[in-house]
Amino acid sequence: MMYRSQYVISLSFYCLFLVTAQPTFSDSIFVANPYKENVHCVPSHLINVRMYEPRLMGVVYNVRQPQKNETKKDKDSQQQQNLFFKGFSWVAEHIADGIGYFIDDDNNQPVQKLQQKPRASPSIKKKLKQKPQQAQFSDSKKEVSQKITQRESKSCTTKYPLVLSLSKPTSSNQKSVKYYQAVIEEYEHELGCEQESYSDEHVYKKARLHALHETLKDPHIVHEKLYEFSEGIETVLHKHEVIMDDWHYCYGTPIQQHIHQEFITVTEQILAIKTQRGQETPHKSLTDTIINFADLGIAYNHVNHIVQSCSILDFCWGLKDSCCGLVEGLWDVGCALREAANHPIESGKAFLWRNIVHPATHLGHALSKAMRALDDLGYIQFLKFIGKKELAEQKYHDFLQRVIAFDDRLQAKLKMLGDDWQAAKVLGIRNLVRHATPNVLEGYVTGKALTVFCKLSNIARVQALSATKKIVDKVHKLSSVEVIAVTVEGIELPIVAESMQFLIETEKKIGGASQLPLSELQRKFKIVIEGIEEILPEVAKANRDKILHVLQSKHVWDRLVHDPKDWDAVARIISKVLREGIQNATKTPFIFEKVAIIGPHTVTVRFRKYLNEVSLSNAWINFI
Amino acid sequence: MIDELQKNLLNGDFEIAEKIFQRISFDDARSMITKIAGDTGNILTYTFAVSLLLKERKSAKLHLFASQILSTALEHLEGAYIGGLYHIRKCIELDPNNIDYKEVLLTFYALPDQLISKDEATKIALEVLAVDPDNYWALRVIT
Repeated sequence: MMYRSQYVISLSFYCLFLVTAQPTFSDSIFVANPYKENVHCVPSHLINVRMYEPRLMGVVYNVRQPQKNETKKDKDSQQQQNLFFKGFSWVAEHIADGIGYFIDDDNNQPVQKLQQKPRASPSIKKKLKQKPQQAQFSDSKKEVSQKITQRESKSCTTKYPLVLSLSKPTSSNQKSVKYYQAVIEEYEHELGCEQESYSDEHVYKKARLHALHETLKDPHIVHEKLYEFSEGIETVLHKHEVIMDDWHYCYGTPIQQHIHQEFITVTEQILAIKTQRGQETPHKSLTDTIINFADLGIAYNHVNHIVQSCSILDFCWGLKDSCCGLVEGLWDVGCALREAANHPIESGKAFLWRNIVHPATHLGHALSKAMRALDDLGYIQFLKFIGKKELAEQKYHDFLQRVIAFDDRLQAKLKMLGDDWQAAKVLGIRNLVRHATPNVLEGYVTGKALTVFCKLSNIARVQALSATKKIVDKVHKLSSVEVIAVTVEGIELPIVAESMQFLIETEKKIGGASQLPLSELQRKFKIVIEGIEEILPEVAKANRDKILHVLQSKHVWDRLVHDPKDWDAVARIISKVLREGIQNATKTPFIFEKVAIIGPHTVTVRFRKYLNEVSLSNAWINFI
Repeated sequence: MIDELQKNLLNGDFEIAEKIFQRISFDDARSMITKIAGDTGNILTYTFAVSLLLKERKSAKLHLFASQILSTALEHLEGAYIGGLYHIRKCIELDPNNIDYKEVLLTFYALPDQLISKDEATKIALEVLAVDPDNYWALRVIT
């Protein structure tokens, strides 16, 4: 299957600087490929402009040659034309360098190959020498932040790159000073490596770093905070049957408070898009998915799984940007067009360099991070895939390998490229992204990725299937057009379609999904506690007397588990504290204890030590 | 050695056990017997500590030893923490300037059983902080 980058340029502009070529069609779209050696000319009646993803193609111009009596009537049109001239030098350079040729619109054959530099008119030469227009990327951070705010409040169309940061995976679960230091180092490294970025996530990541520093100052200090939302978000969250108290209330360290706020923000932003675009857009399913993930992430945050909740948080940001991309790209091309027309050159670069590579990288990275974290936690044992654990495990491992491989490849390639835009062109970063990102989006749209998220798997897969099916329907409608369409992430829609077909067939063969009881979902918070921790051997070996002693009612285990007499559930919490808690000991080797915050409570575990052997002594939930 | 000590302890051969006990350092012997007590849950380990105390009534170290057996190994027995606290109070009585014993006493404050009052804990904590301003157990009471 051929992959082609496509740029659409105006006929009028083309006629001005290509003296030798004088196409006769007056209502056409030119599709130019800045990396390959071709320029398509496609009659506009064959083109459904929506199939062009402007963030991929840089600039999309659907130009009707102006009629004489129209020129004065439509000032906006004229203004846009002027902008074309300013901005097309980049595309023009490629054609002027002799790397392009026409394809006749009727038979799709090349009508003229540009072996030599065409003779451009003096005015065009002048245009070509012009420096790229100072676009929004040179604005001060303050201005950009303001613009982002305006953008969020008015529309979801992006003028600024939805740049996401690269994150390093980590498997550390230790809540200790050392652990916080490690996380801080990681974030500092990430922020240092990032390109200048104005994304919401970048801003939040900096704030996360600040919160981590604050937490590091005294990991014991916890705050109690209530969070208020608008009525709209409250209603939507109710519809998703989330436990509202989990969203409204957070008891934890500054970093936990920050993460909580971030989950609310990403949800609010996705709902803002939803409100603006209506309920029937395909991103509705993705929105639901984000809310479900945010809910899971909040639950992790409550039990102080900072790394896991951050991974899910990053993943939510990635999905949110994908939603924006879908909406802006496939369902609101006109808006994106206007944005691109203002700063075509910079937009083109940004679209390709940031808006494609970064979100794709981010999405893959966030996915792999989340999965590694979940894998570390042994979540796989709770995985359900249509009732067949082996199949689910097989699919999970298969997908995980692919995502990690993709992530590694893309990281290596990006590291090699650095900031070199020219190198990116030579190496065809778009092709790279196109080949690599299917691993991510396929995993996403087919629900394979979501399958690992245990209790949410069935719902998530159904949502993913629904979203993908809508895309597939679009592809079928567009199948007669001889231009390859791509999604915002750089994936050809036919690939998505094929994936979808495969998934649907697989689904049919297996017999459909089995829904999990709602009660289980509603009890998610406690499921997280009970489900993710392995019981340590030193806890497992506790004798009956010890167990009965630990399970005494005065130890108030009912605050964290459903059944306070369920030793298995309590043992998991104790194991978690022994694994992650902060250790304290008396100077005489009399008492050893570990303390950890689990959800809204502090749990203390006391133990004996003989040589390197640890034995459980007592454990309780603090209530003083 | 721990096996030999355990065998004699649990058979009630305290004289042999005491000889073994004296061959090794006090701290090692203490942790060894605490482990035996925790693993077996046998009250004879505490009896052994009491037998040593009967011979050396004014030994704060032996009271600490007895307290440790009760409150970290046999704590599942009814009254074990109260017994452990009794021995720690004795430690402080015998060696009032020893901050380590006061620190151990503060560990009882954190128990769900509420064995010592806030006032007493605060008083002890301030005494500890006067010598060791960063002491975790004392700060925990004060804050």
